Amino acid sequence: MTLQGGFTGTILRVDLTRGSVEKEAIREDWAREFVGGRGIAVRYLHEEVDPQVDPLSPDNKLIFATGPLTGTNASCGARYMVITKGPLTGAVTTSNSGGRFAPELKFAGYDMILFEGRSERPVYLWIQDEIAELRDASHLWGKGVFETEDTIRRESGLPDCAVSAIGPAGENLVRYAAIVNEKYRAAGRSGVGAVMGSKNLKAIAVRGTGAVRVADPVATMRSQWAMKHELTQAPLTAEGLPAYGTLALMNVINEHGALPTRNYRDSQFENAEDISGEELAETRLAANKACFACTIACGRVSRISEEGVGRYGVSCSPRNWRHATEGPEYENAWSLGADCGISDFDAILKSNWMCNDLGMDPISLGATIAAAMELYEAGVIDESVTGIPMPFGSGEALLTMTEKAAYRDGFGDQIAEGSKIMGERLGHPEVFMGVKGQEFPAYDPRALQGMGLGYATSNRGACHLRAYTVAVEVVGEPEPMDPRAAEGKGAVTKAFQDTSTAVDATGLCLFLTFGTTLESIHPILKAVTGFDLADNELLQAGERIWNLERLWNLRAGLTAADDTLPKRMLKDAIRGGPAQGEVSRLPEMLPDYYRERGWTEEGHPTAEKLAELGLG
Amino acid sequence: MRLLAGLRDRLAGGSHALEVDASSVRDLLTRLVGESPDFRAAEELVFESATRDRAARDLRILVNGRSVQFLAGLDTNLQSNDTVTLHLTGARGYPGG
Ligand code: SF4
Repeated sequence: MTLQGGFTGTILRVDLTRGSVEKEAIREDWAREFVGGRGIAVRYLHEEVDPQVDPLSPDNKLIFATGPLTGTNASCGARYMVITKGPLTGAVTTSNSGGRFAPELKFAGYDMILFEGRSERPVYLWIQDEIAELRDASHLWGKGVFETEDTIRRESGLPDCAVSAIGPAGENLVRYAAIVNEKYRAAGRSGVGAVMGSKNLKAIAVRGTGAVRVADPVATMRSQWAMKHELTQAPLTAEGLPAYGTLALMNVINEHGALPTRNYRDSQFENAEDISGEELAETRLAANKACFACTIACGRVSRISEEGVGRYGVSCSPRNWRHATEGPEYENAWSLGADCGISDFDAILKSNWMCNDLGMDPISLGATIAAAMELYEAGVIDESVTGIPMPFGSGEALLTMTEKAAYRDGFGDQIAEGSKIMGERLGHPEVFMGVKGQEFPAYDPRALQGMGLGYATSNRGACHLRAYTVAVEVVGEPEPMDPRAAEGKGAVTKAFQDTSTAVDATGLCLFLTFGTTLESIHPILKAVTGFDLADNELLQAGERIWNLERLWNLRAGLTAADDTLPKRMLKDAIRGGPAQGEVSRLPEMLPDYYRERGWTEEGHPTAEKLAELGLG
Repeated sequence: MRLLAGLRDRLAGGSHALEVDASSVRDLLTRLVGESPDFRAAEELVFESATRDRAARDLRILVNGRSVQFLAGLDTNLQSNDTVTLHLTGARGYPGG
């Protein structure tokens, strides 16, 4: 079999210990079975990395993977994924980012980069079409993402190159450090940036002048136009996301009584309107912004007020938007806002901006600060520990701890560990609100039962992007499901997980699924790759990848006992608002989910299921 | 009642919240359309057709945070001090969608 399109056919293998960069052919059989992106990279991880490996040791590998539709003109063909063992979770992690870094990598001629070992001194990988070499990064070490990107662009003489980098948080091994490209797009979760930092790898810069070959150009054009047309017909992709971004959800989720507030102690935030998409659009929105080839453009460019700039003494670099920043996404405005009881939009925007420059996941950062605020208000810790007052609602505390966490300075050293380890060290593990070491995103699983099952069973720890049951439980599409009911959530969670995984493998953006279906993506994949795909083959590939991730996690030592939620979600009923009195009904849903998956009661894929998926 | 996002401009001259006297959700939507300056546009936004027997496909209606899809639909009765939230939405995309 020879790859006809979509794939360049070449991957880069970078041995950081030896300082070598080698080109090798991609495994074509795996490309067919696991598609690309998250799928094929997990297959490589499964083959090459011992699941018991210390995530921050040279033996862990770090994979940057594009999909076959990345860099094509299919809408949202902008994504790459970073696959490794996550230091926050000890599980497989698969973090996703957009922008234009990934298409640029394809244009240079590569589907994937696989880093192994550890460099003795800081380096970055420079790629210019067929040239791929490691360069000294000593002068960049310690610098923020923004300055790193600007410096590489200037020094390289190719200002159009795309740069993906870590900031001080990655260098200092903050457990939720991110990898950031084009300054504001991030592979955010689970600490992929810390793995990069542990390898002394500061950045990857790439300039490509080639193109992505497609097997059937006419069918590619037809099928991708059909999908674009669909996106213009669906309210969320045609209007909701362009007008309000993901932040449109703030008021909606709050009205449902599912907006976690003050470290999940409450489920409605009295000041949600002040940090909503509507407020942003009315008072601060400078522009919206799209990733490569995207016809949705959910990205925000938002103004920080002059007063806010003065108040917190952090100025935006003049090389960037003056007094403006990209974002925030709903999840970030929630974690840095409602979850910390903060309604000061300037403080939220600035902390979000700092997270991009310092290279940190705002979800885990905000949630860990919220857990610390709970302990501060309970009198478990005081200023002699934290160095500053840390009550809920304090924008000052948020900004101070954002900086201190990235540098592991003072109490920031505890915040940098994430709320699970921080809570355990302070004798209060119950303040950790998450799964498998990773903090929850912005939906209360007691109010939206399906989200609880999705969090508990996500292979990379608590995550909203693996099974977005909000679609059926809040949006009511394609069919409404009662958010309070446990019945039927096993099947729908499995279906969402497999679908999301399949989309991730193609190199497209998950937000497409708000306006189109796998049935519309399928003909594009067929036309681009030339693969003779059966009708449900893409969805089945999603299931295959999901099961392989599960097998890897089981070999890493995770068990069914890790498919759980904190006691606060299982035992403590919501105290007020529309979902008052609700707890998570995970114990009812989990056995149902395992059955739907074809797994044993202990959460192991059965031999029959593995054989069916070709994993036996 | 509370209106979210684009509905504020289209139905209430930019207001976030309105006080409306109504006995059911249907009654409330009918009044909302009746008081709107652009009657026809408001009707199209709120109801699926001029017969007004179904809410528009992309309109979500919450009574005290609970979708009327799980109550009595447009026939859901309202008490004084009930909070009704309207938002527009739409998401196909997952299996079966
Ligand atoms: S929908 Fe948003 S995140 Fe997705 S590709 Fe488009 S701009 Fe990027």
